[in-house]
Amino acid sequence: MALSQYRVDDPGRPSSRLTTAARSVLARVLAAVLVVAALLTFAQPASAVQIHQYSVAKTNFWAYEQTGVMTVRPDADISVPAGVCPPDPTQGGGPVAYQTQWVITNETATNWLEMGTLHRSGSCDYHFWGYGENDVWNPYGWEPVSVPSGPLYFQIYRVGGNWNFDIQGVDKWNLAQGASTWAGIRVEVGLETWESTIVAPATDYTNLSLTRAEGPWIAWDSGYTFDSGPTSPMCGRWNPLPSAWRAGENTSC
Amino acid sequence: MLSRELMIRLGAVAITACLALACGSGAAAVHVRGVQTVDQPECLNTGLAFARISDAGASLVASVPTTVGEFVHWEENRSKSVRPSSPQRGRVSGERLVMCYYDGTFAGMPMPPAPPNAAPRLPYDRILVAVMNDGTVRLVSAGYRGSLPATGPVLP
Repeated sequence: MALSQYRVDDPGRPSSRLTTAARSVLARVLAAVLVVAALLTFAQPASAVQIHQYSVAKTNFWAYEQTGVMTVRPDADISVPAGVCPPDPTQGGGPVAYQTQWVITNETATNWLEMGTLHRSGSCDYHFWGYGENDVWNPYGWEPVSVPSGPLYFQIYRVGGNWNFDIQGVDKWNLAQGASTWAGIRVEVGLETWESTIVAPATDYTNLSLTRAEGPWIAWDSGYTFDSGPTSPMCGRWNPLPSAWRAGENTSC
Repeated sequence: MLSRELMIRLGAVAITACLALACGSGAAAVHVRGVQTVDQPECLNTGLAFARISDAGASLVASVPTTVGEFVHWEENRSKSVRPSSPQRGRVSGERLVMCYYDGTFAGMPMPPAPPNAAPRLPYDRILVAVMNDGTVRLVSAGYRGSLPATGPVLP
């Protein structure tokens, strides 16, 4: 049949009836798709986002030569979304969280000593250590660990101008002084995250201590910083114990 | 209509410009403290694969061939405040070692919180990787283009 036998305004033409039927089906399909999409949207947790936030305790006094930082804490069982476990675990890439501690040696925090535990997906958990200078991080070692662990002593401390990095009393690394040596202006201990959906159980960082001018360990509980607010997954607070900071991500502290 | 000779000249200029800008490769020969270097195969292969674990878009910006001995001396003496023992100290001093610098966005590496009232710290955007003669790769440093200049093992 010739298409020209129907007028455009003829309500009885076959093409018009098909269009009406198709529209009805299409409307129903679209409605179903919208309902499913809405259900999926509300059922899904927040999508993973790369963030960089902290929950840390820190000394608030600047007048002393701070030459050591210590805490006692477990290597927590932190749940990290799937990602890489690179050959150098500190090289970055993919979701990662750190339980860590620093001796900060200048006001802009571009010089520091650091040791802690890094957590990636699966069984990619490592102790690590190194130092930063002029905003450049220099990693110097790591070793795999099993999580969760019992409480472990983590100590960075200076003796005779040289820096020692100990875990549970075992010397992991030594950093000799140069022509001059560093002294800390602040020490910090806590949790650092690079991903929004990591679940780090609330963990106590106890026995927070420092040394001054290479003297004995002294307890401290002076200050803190953590990223809070409706969009932050971090939590932190001084817990009832003396000199203990509690930190976590996507959990309640 | 362009003459054949003019077209050849324009083509030559385009090719030269393309090479000068490292057209298509994302890498270019660079001057490192007066030393003309070319892209070393260690940096284009092993080192680049290592860097791209952290950032798939990482690109080579400088490659500096040297020896283990020169590198160890530089690493252990580049700071005035600390003197780390280089992990390469046990290797043969005359062994070839290539320093490879890559630019990219290297998130997820250790760094302390910014000081009070300062802007949050950004991910590092430059890394230095050492590739040894046997293919061993090591992340030496991670920093920023302004704090980690692409230099050879020359002490300041």
